[in-house]
Amino acid sequence: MNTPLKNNKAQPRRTALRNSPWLKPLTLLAGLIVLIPVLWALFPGLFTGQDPLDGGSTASLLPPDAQHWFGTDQVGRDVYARMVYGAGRSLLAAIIAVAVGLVIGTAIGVIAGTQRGWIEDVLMRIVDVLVSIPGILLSLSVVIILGFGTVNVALAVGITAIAQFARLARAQTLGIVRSDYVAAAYGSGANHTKVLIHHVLPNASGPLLALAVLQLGSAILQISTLSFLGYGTPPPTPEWGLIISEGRNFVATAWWLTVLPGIIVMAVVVATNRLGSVLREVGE
Amino acid sequence: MPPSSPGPTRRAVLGAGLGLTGMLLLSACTHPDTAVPAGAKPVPGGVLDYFEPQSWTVLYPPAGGFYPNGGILNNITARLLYQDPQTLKLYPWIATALPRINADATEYTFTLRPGITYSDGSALTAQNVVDNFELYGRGDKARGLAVSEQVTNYAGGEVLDEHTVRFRFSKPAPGFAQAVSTMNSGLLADATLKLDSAGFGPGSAAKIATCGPFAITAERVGTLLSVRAREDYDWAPPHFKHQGRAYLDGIDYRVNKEYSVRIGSLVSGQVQGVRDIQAPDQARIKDKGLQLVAAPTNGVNNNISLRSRHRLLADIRVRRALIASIDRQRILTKLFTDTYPLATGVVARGAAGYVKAPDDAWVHDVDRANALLDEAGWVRGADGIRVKDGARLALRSNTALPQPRSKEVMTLVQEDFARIGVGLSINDGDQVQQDLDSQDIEKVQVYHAMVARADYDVVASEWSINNRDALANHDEESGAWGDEEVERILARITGSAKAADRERALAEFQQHVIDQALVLPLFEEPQVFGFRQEVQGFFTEPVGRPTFYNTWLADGAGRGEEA
Repeated sequence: MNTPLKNNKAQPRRTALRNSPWLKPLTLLAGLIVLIPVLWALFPGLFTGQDPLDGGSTASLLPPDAQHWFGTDQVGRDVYARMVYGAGRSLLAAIIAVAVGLVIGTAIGVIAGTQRGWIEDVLMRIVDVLVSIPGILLSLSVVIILGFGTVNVALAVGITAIAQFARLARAQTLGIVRSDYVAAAYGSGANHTKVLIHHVLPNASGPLLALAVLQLGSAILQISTLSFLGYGTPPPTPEWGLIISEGRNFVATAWWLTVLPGIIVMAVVVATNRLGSVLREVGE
Repeated sequence: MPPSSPGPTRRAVLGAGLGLTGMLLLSACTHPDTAVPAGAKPVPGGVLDYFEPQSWTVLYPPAGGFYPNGGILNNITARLLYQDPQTLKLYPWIATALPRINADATEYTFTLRPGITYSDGSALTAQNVVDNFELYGRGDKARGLAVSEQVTNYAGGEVLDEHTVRFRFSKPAPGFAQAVSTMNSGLLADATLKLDSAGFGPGSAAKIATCGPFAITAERVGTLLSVRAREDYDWAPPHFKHQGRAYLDGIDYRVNKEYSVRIGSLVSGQVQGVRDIQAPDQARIKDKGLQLVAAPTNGVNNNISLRSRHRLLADIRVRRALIASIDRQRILTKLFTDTYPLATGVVARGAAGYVKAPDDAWVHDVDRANALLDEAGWVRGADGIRVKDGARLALRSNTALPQPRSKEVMTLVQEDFARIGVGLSINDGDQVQQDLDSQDIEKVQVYHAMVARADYDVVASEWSINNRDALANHDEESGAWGDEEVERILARITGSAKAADRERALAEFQQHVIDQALVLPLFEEPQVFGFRQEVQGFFTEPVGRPTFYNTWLADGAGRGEEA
């Protein structure tokens, strides 16, 4: 398949830059949307002066205004401040979840793709079992076994992502181990581990990283879902899913409690998906 | 792959347009709500669709204190006496007259009305009435049926003749006459008295035979309980203007835990009644022209108990600091409306034995709270939570699910505690989990609750170790007490023959919990109902449970399910 990147190889450098998928307006917008919560997570104090845990004497259920951009919640806390301070926990949980899926899934896929035989059969049947269980059911089961809390929710979501990474890693590995440069590496005396580290993993990493970015959006959504259901961080610690969950009783009287945080979560998920798609596009 | 995504297709635009139009059309299909002319006469017919926030758990009458249970039991059972919700005066109901009581209130004699039958066809006899109170007064551990917290010091019952029964008590039982008027003393048929706790639980409701104006006819566990009017019901309290069958054909008690679903169903006209309208929605309900009924509960006020038997709360200075840290007015301003008045005593102003607490009883003073904790040797740790001898001053509270906005109340208390360096985590979980955890003092040290009952005994119902034991005051294994004096005073309230003595003991109880910083009353808790305009004649019994006997539907149609 001809990709825009390949087509542009022969073009002058400026044209190539202009046609780069990274510089398209939608991609730039997606990058900005992802960047904002990352900055919220790293430097929350720069973005709000409000206390996310204590509303003081501020009235509850105030609509959005200049002082409270997202209004105040059911006990008078600033919803924007809670979103800003909640970003760290929500994004960290998503990163842990993707990391769990990426590391364990890749390990399974690479071992299965290089070892073949009964090891491959056993590993890939385990992956088949994981695929056959609906993600939310699997993560709920895991979180009930591990106990409530953000890290446990992240681990639960990560476990549901293992299968996808394992299948992709195996497929990539199967292609790479048959290539001439791997045969040449073995021919020049490299052992199995060396080939795995220097040839298989670097060459399989592109699609895996693209999947990781795509999974990030999905993980944010899944973690928010589990927090919404009450399995995540205990109150009053802010976390995106919990903030939406706490506001759901007031949909008719204070829509901003659910709609504005919901838009933030949706925007970050869509933007992350966009970046993942671009990464995949570039990789191809 | 194309360099950029194509714009929305014609089909997508058309789909979105059709969807939006459909939503607008559907939103216009809500049930119209028109006012009923003043003076309209009751008309029979129709099934009331009514939403509860929680599912009922057990229909054993002594367990009727839990609101979803009580809301059903109050309508399916009849009692020996009837208590007027406004005056709290007692009237005959199944008994032909008020009981004859001996001088020290240890013997109660009732004469029974003839011709009363249960919904299974069996007759209400003198022996059956005695058997009811034998069960409520003694309980049956083998069947998992508890002693009624309202029938104290029970010594036995006897049949004097075909229509006369007598109950005896080992100590004065001045609250018994009122107790037999509550839904906790609802009368059950002989076959029903043989059920075990599972037989009174979800899935078995249709087996429960009662002699109230409605009888259970169908059940879908966790979502619906249908009761239908008994055509042969002809034993309403004699002083009622309305006699005979209930106006309604029946009531469908629906359950949905999602508040927004319940309130939305009422506003859109999908149901006709909802219990537990929260403060933020009260204005909206009125604006929509719907009826808002705030019924006082005439019992113990919504309150927080500090369990002094726990090592972290054993020091009175810590308890005083916690009470001083809580800003009750802030809780009311932020979460509630004028229908939730600030508590001025342990019991509500309309409750039996109300005494106004001294003005300085529960003063909010953060500086004093901090000073008390400093004096007690608790110093702030790195995370802001105070520590002493390696122990963190971190407590845990329950969530009182039947109480309005309990989680938000405790969230504000959590904020107040954090300001003085005390940690508070709020127990999550469903009613069963809350009940289990609340019995364990290691899991819950700060207990949020309220109990409604229009009698002096209500304080014993909440704090006595024989009843709900909100203070978790006594450990049977070790024999340790949190505050033994509490139990001694409560015994005087439940065991004194004269009303004046009981009233004095209740005032003493209030002063004791103030002095010992054991209880912080927050506000007088009403039960707030919302109804469509067509629902008429609704009122509650003395502690806010719905009474549907006199309720009627102006359009007469109702929209219940076939049952």
